[in-house]
Amino acid sequence: MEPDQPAPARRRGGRRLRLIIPIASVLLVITPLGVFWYRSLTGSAYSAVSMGDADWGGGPGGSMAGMAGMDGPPGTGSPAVPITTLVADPKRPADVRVDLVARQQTITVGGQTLDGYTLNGRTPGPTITATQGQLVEVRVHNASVARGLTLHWHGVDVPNAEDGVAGVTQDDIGFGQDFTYRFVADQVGTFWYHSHQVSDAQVAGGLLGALVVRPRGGGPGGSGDRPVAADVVALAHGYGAVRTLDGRPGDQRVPVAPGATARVRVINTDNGPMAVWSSSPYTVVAVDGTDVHRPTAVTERYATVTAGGRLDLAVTAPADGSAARVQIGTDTAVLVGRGAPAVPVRQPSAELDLLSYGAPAALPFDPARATRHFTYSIGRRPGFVHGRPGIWWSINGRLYPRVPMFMVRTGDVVIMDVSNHSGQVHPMHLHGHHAVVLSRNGVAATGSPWWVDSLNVRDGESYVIAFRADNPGIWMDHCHNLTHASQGMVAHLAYEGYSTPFTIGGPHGNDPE
Amino acid sequence: MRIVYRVLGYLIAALVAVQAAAVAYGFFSLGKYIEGGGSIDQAAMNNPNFTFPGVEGLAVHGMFGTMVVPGVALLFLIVGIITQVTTKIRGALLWSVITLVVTVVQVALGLGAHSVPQLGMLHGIVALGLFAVAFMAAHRIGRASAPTTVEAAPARSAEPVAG
Repeated sequence: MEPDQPAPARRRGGRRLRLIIPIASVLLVITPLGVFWYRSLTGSAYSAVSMGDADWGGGPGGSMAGMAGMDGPPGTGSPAVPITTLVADPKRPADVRVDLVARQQTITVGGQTLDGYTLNGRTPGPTITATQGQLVEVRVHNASVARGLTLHWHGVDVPNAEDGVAGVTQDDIGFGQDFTYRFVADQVGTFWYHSHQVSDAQVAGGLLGALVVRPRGGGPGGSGDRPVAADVVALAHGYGAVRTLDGRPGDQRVPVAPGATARVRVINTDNGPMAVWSSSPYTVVAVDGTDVHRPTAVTERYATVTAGGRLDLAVTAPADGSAARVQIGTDTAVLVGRGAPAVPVRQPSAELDLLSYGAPAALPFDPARATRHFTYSIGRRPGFVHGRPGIWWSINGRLYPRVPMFMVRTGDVVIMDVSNHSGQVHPMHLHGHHAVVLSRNGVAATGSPWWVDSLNVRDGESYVIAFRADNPGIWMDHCHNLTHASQGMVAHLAYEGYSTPFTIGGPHGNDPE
Repeated sequence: MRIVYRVLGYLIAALVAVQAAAVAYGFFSLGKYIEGGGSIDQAAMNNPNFTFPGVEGLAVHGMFGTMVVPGVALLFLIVGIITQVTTKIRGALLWSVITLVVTVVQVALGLGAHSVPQLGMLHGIVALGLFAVAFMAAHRIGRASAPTTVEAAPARSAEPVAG
């Protein structure tokens, strides 16, 4: 019987081990997942400056105090400057006054009824126009938007407090409340405005409108070397399945005389790039609100307008009296001319390359003297965002909220390397600044300085862009596919020494995406 | 635990079938939409309010593929660990690991195909493999006789111990 006695002890010890190993294995699998899940939670209210990792881009700075907005701008010796002080001159009277009433209601577009948003009873909202140098004052009243709204002036480098980002530059305009935006229209060109509270849903639902700034001297802007007979906005927006220009589906007519030129301001308010092409030659006179230097006529090429971006086209009505067809996306077109429109033309296979379009001109700064170099590398990986598992967009390998906080000081020349290996295109939008494209995929820019605030970065592409940090504050730098932004594809550009009293989440329910 | 293991294994196989059905339905719906005069570009594809009848097939395929199937496969692994220990059925853990690995490969192929569409061909074939692996893992457990150890014990105790 002796051989039996040691065996039970071995069996008991073995049984314990057989219990420990699987429990340990299960814990080994579950614990890291639990940690990642927990770290993805952002809590009920958090500040944009306290999330993410500070990136000083190899330039001066790096104190925790500077990043968290506890100290003021370097050299001032004062405490952090709240961005609420970054406003247009409060003593200056407004030159252009606009009153907007925002409502959440059903809208009817192209025979289709859906839930949406209106400004002054219409979507898109009214086009705001101003002359360069005028002070624009927009008073917004929230009549019925349940989750509140803001207005962001897309492409206008406004003072930070007017940027309209809920939870960063302001609290959202609550139900029944008012807010006034004031900014000087310094830049001449085509812009648009849209809500930046729950922006994915509100912009898709039509809480947006156009903003046009014309040069001093009156009259419509020129198209390079010739005056225009008509200056129209073609704001493209998809309401549900209905694609529209200025809220109307199908073709829109610009009845100019034969041989006359129209300036068509194409604004893409959707979540992805659109192709634009024409049955007769067109000239791209402005990109993202900046004039192109010595543009040439384009034939047999389509131009890409990315999400949030604008292209101003000069199109001449054919001399034979027919109308040129400027196709904007697959479903809508602008007909320039009085006569019969050209039959729909297939989208050309070749794309207009803005990298080499137009003639070079001097830049206002020297990129070789850059003091900051940042990387914005877009990818995709499994993980948790806001506690939800999935395969999410990453920035420099990290998921929201551990996204980069690009730190700069006023006066810095910044170079940013934007690359995309995520499998989908991302239209990248930087608030408050315009950047010039230096190169794409290693090929240097040779055309007119390509200034952008919304850059279409395709899968496999990389861009090197440069800008000057000349507009202090805390600025979003995010994908303008707003669904992606709501999934965490958001970073910030923050000037050292500035703080924000606002929080994302919190009692106001600020939710910029 | 054997029952849970089998349910999860068959569930993964069923989800693969759901994935195939959803993407085929979505793709044919897209074709019908275009045939009917509709058009689609990147801006439309990314519009949260843009729909055509059957678009939910594509949405389901994406969502299930990145969240549901990997989640169930991970759960299958955990259950596989527990099943291996409690029932001692040979291969219970191994087959759940294989299923998870094939799932990971399948998801990676699906994501990579956005950049390199040729990977989509492999994605289609590996789906069949994943179905087979998950089905077999569950099926084996049903047929396997756990008493490999249970039979031995009575035999041992019945036999008189030789000196």
